[in-house]
Amino acid sequence: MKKLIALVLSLMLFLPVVALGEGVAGEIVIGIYEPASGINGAGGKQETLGIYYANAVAPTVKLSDGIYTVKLVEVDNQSSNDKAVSAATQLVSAGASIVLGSYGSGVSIAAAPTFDAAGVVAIGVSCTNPQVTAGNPLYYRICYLDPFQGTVLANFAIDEFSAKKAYTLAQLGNDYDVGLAHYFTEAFKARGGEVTGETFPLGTSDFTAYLTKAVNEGAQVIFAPTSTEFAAQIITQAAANGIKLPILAGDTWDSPVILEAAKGTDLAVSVSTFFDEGDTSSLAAEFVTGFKAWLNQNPEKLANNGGTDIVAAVSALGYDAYMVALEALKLADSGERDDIADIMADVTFDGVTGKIVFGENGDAVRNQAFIIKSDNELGAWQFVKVQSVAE
Amino acid sequence: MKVFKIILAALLVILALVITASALTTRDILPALLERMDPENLAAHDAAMQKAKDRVTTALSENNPERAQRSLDRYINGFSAQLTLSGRVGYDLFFFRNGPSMLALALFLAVAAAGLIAHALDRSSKVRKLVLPAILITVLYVGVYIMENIAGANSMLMTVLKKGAIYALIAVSMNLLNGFTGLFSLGQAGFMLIGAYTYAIFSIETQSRAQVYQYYAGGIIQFQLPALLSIALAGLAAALFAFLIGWPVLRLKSDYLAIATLGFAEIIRAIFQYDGLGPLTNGSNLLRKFTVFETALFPFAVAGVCIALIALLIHSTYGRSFKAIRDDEVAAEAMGINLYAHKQMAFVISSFFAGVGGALLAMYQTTVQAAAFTSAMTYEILLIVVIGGMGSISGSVIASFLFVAASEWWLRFLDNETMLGSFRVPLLRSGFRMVVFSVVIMAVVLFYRKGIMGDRELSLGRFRRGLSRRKKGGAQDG
Amino acid sequence: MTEFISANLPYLLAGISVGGQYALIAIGYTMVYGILRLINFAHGDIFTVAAYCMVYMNATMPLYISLPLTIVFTVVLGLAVERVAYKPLRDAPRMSIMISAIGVSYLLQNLMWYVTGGLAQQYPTIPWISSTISIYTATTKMVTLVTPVLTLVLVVLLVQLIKHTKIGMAMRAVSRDFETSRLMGIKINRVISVTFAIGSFLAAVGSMLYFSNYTAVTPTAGAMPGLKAFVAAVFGGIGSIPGAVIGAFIIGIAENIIKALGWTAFSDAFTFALLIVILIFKPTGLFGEAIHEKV
Repeated sequence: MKKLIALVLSLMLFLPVVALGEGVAGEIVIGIYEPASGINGAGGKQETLGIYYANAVAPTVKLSDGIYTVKLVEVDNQSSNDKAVSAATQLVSAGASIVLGSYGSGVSIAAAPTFDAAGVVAIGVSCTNPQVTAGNPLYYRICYLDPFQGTVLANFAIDEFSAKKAYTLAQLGNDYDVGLAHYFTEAFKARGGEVTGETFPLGTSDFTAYLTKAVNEGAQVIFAPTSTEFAAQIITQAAANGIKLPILAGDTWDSPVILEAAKGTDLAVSVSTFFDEGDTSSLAAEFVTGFKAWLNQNPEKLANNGGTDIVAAVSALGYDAYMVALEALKLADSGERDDIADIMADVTFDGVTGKIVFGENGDAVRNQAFIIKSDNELGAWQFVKVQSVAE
Repeated sequence: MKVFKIILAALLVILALVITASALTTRDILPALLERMDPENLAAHDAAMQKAKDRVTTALSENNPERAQRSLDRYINGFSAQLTLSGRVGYDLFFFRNGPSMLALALFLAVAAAGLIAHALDRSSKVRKLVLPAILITVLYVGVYIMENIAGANSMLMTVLKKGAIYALIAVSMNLLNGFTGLFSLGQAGFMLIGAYTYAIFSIETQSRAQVYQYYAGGIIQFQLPALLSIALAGLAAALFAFLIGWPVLRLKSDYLAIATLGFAEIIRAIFQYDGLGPLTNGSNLLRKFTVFETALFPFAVAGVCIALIALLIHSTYGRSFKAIRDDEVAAEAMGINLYAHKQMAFVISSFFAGVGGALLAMYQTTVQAAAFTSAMTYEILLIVVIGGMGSISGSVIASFLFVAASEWWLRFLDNETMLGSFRVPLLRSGFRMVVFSVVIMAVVLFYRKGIMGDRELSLGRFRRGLSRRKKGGAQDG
Repeated sequence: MTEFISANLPYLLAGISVGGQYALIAIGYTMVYGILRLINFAHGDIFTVAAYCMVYMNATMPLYISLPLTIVFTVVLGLAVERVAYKPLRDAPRMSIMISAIGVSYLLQNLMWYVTGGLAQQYPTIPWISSTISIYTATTKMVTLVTPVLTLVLVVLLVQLIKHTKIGMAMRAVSRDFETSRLMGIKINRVISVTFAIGSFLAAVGSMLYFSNYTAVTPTAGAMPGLKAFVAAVFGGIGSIPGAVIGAFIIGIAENIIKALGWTAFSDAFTFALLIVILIFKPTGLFGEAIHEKV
């Protein structure tokens, strides 16, 4: 009997022959490819919030043959590369015309071949590793790249802290960490400094050994571009062990998790990011007020943002990505994947994070990064400066 | 009856010949098809049709046949009624477009035909026993092929089938070790990792190597090997490591063997992530841009061949020795079976197929990274083996498809927040799917300890007898 | 000399601290294995659940209630796991019960993912043990000193329990010979329940110390410490409590020495390599007794 059930069940596999169609008429599907769990879950949730807010602001798109409602389909890639393929396939079979995502370069690189084979344009939101777009003709990106970010932070380390020696800490097996640390090291050495680098395996909770190493090596600055999960550990343990070195990191540390961990300590945590909440230009200010109001209306959204209404840079990027997708739909004048792929390279948009124009490889032309510092008394970010590479 | 079988066989042969013929000529049909688009309706659907035609021609000139195919498909699906008859026939033949897999299909059909003829002419039971399963397997492959063309290569169904086939191979290899030989080993993920990396390293396209290995100045290997050779190498690499590891580890008792193999899997993972080996393994970074399969028939074919080999092994004298070792080691040794040699053999062969499975997994995922091959992956395979029944090959195969389908597809709706009208259904949010899934697994482990198939194989004879018993008696237990 | 000490003191302190925490978990493993011959894979996850329990309870209750309540809850959880997942399989082949343990571990981890959303939570600060002190030139948390002391105290108490009480004698008998003890009238269920209760109690205490030191709690935080604690138990001789403790300290310190030497990528792998070496050369561990198999 059990065997019969098993046989019937396995035969049923062939029954749902559903090529899930392209959405209801009058509807265009935009896919959200983000982590909602795993080591990058926190950042992914914040980025998704930005996209949902943008959808609340602009829920329809007007094409020459009528007004279409935009439907968002969200899929969780669990921050893990082996779940990437099935998550991406889900979006493809749900009929997505464009996909937005992801937070986390590893999962983006892993999903790129699936999107490519299906002919779906993907817009990378905050994935900064060059390999996301290199060799993937349909993957575009609206944020800056790691070689740029690494150089910016190296310059900042040398200019602000007069550092001659640096210590980098990256997570073993994580493309983003290891890549960014590599670019930082190159730029730092190019200006005559010395760098020691270490990697820690996934699942590490004890960072005392690494921090002690940094001190023993005589480093003057610690560069730790890890995900938020480890960031909290690193900060609290650095404070507990009385380490006074300034800590630098990349865009993943722009998060309330870091502020909470650094609060009450006297550590100098500086971070490079895509967006400054205090930006007074009209586009940005309007976005910030609107987004905060939208967050505060709903306690669950507030919880997903880490429990505060501080605007994360990735939310601003998510907002911009959605708007860029709408621009692409308007320019292609259709929801067909191939039409969008044809015109994607020509899309431009004035976003809250700056003007977005696509250059070589599908990367947005960006030459500015914001540096922010944690204010440990208030538990908020303090704007330091805008840094470019030429300096 | 005999005549009927021979006629059926002849029809299959003709079908095989037709498919072979069209496999060898399909590419040229496309331009001819374009011309056969009905001019009468040109006026009515002018812009759309012209756009489709232009796109197809540009794609062909850019040497991008996938894009041409997609544009053509979309057009045909919209305007199929308007095609002339010759256009329609041409398109239907073009439908089965993938050359190599069509040839494979023709081969299967020819084999089925030969089997039918043998069945009709030969009275010996050995042949009869093999023919029916062979035909069923052929039907399965044809079914997969047709499903792929109807549902589309990118649909969830095909994804599940591909992953299911790959996991089936790995589950059977683990079953060989755990279920048939009684060696409780938790190192499967390590051998899959070796297989996946070996395959990827040897089959990355030469022109992409500089980009993939960008932090290690292009890497040390600068050539590309064909896919099948790389898969074989992957299996051999895994087998080699198993041979080296087996020497210290196979003397241990079952619990310690489990922990020791688990430990080796972790060590292997650390080695592959090590920065110093970067020029070979790309350290912490993904490996990508290697040869991948295009149709679901490839993993099915490779997995099928491997599983058949394992089944042959089990039914030989070696297989009987393995089972003897599982049942009572001391007695087996007393009967003259060289314990260590046989254990080593089981370990190495199981790891070879785990390596091949790892290579297939790499092709499925299109990227490889060591961090994904954790002990959690071994636990998943172990659970599949347990659910299917330790000691049953067909059990492992069925369970693997069920497992992949349930965890990746059927239960996905549990992850989405659904509204019934204005009422939010409680409990349904991200992560619930895995909870339900774990509960189901615990239920199977506790209550259906023998698994779906126990230690018996799926057999048509038993199935038929079971059905007839139910028809006759009704009082019998199924 | 002083420079050598001040450079390496933090490593040593970290090693002692983490070794003590591993020891508390390792005792749970070794006791359960001694009696049931089962590797309780779920033990590491019970350790993590205890931490989450503390996080959630402390959000709504004051510390002096949430602390004992966490311990009680963890013990109840350990007993429940035993009753539901291991008892029905007591007469089944060894592999089944180990697979059940893996299944429970899987279930607990997925439950934690689901309930907490997978985001790292901060462990509440327990006063006094979380305060910083400086030893010589190194600054560290009080936890680092408290751990080895508390571990030794608990171990001594436990050994006394086993040597001088009736239930302890029962536990020793059952671990020597399961079937005969049953025939002699020892209430097996009670013995097993007590074993799991003690193991879970120690895991709860261990989690308080561990997460006071490394404050981010994630669903998979307990997996690696659990596995390392098991390695420590095997290393010291499975079935022997002092062996487990010594093994744990050795592993904790050795791990940090490896990191100090610069081979950080291999710090986890090293633990397993140590295990394999010991299994090859002395399978019964440092303090274990040789088991002779009679035919």
